[in-house]
Amino acid sequence: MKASFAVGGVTKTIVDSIMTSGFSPEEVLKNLDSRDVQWYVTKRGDLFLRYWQLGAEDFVPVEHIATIRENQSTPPEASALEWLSEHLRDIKARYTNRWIAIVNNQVVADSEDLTSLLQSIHGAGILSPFVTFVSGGPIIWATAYGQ
Amino acid sequence: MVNKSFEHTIRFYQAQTPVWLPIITVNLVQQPSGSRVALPLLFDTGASTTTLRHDLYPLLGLSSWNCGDPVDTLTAGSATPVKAYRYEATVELLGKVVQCPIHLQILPLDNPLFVGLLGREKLFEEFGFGFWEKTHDLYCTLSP
Repeated sequence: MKASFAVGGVTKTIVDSIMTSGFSPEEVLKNLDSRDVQWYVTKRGDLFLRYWQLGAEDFVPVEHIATIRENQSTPPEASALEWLSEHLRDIKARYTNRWIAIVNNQVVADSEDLTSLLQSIHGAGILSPFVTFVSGGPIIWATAYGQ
Repeated sequence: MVNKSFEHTIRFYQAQTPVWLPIITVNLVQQPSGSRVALPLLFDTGASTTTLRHDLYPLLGLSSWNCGDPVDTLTAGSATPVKAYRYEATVELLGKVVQCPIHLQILPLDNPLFVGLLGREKLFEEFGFGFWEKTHDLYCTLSP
């Protein structure tokens, strides 16, 4: 498990990260305490961290939302899908006909076949990678046969 | 007037074309390890069952894509039924874990932004969805 800690700013910024694999739960929780991160362990043993996020409902008129969102930059912690969408042209040029795994906004593994990719992922101890295939041909946007 | 509340907003994606797509990242929970792999799936109310590219079969721990229960399906809009193979899988969407059927099928998809279709069977019972084309947003609740 890798834990990250975010502190406020204009956008959330990752200011520290630690590798937690190899540490006992008690050690990890102690580490969280040292960073003033509030935590809670459920009856099932799941760990939850207190996370703050401010929002302003109805801040943007509905007819302007798409325009504003289209032009906004992607926060560094945005999802792999968002990152892939933004970098699709470069990714396609570099990883044609390969399976790729994305973690923390970077391609961490690639392979000609999915089985090999999964072996690389597991061998490296990578958790919850975003996996997709980068086709060689032009991108097809149709989702039905015969379109 | 009916009011619905949604805890999550999932934005559509647009890349290289004017097309906006409602794509949801779903974690497929691998057995028996419990490790997760995140897969981008296109939200598709027309898909009766969640359907993945056939070559994703290693994620389900299978030796081939066509070793499950064969079914004929019209998913992906074929004029005539095409063959799919049915499996049971565990998926996690927005933190909620659900057991659901999965079809593996040779799909007419060739796009890195999605590797399958998020379909109705089981999953649509567990979540509530609001589709808002104008703002390119898909709203989701875990408590429909």
